[in-house]
Amino acid sequence: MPDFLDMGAYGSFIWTAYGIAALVMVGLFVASWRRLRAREVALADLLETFEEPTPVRPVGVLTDDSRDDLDGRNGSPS
Amino acid sequence: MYRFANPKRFLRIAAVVLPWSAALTVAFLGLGLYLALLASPADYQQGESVRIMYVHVPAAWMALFVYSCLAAASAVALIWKHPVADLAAKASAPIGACFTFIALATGSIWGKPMWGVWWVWDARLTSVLILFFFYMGHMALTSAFEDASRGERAAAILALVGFINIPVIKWSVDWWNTLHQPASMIRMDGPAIHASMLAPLLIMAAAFTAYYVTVLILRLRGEILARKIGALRMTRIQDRQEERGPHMKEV
Repeated sequence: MPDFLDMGAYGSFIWTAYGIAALVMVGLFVASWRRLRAREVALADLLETFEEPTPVRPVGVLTDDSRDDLDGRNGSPS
Repeated sequence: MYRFANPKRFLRIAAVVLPWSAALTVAFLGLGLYLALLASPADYQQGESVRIMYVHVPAAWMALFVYSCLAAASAVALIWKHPVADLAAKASAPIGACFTFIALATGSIWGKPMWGVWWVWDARLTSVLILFFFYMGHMALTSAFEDASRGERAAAILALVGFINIPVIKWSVDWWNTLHQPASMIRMDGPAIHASMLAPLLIMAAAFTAYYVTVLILRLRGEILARKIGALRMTRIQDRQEERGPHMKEV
């Protein structure tokens, strides 16, 4: 094992080179993955707000105003 | 080509490809690292330090390959205005920059024990450093404008201009005097490298290619989602303006 790590006195060069490559490639993968997840969450949140256009009003109570809102968005109240 | 221009179709294909490319990355990396670090022999001149080659050379190949893909995507985006092509170029740039950085860093670390210096301003090293700057420039330009399409157009033009650098890098070791060794793979008389060293080199190159496909799909999906989020937010703003009445639009 020490021979393997030593690599004929080139160990420090070889392991630094492999270490930098691993760090950069793993770092880019993780950053890309987290970016994608964050956007998936952001899109899901956004779509949720689209499905509930009037979240502050009590459910089931349709005022004339809210009826107009629903008409405007969905074409027909549902 | 047009079939891939549709984001929905692309996402469907990407969902099928992603698990395969991820699995191939892991498998090739495992096998490649075993061959590179354990099973392959030391070089008769360079000793064990030759093992740096199995990261350095595939990374340098990928730096050129990813830039070629980026330039091709940019040409398609400029000529046919394919929406996915623009995003593919944008998604490729950071991956290519990372490969170029790895090639430069590992080359420098390999150069110290072999050449006695970390860096020389010769044609090969300088042209690869310029390639790195082209990648950085591309990334900066795509995000420099408020209107994303303007940034993407400017970056596409930069990518095509920078493509001149690719043959310069490839043949720099033949055209100018350099410390860097000449090509060992693509030669008129066949590869000048023993099979025991060729195998880990090619397997590591396959691993890096599979890695590129995997990360490209992740980033492209992210870009498509970002565009979708932007479009939805715009719709929301327009809806709100309509809800407030026509007089608000003029404000």
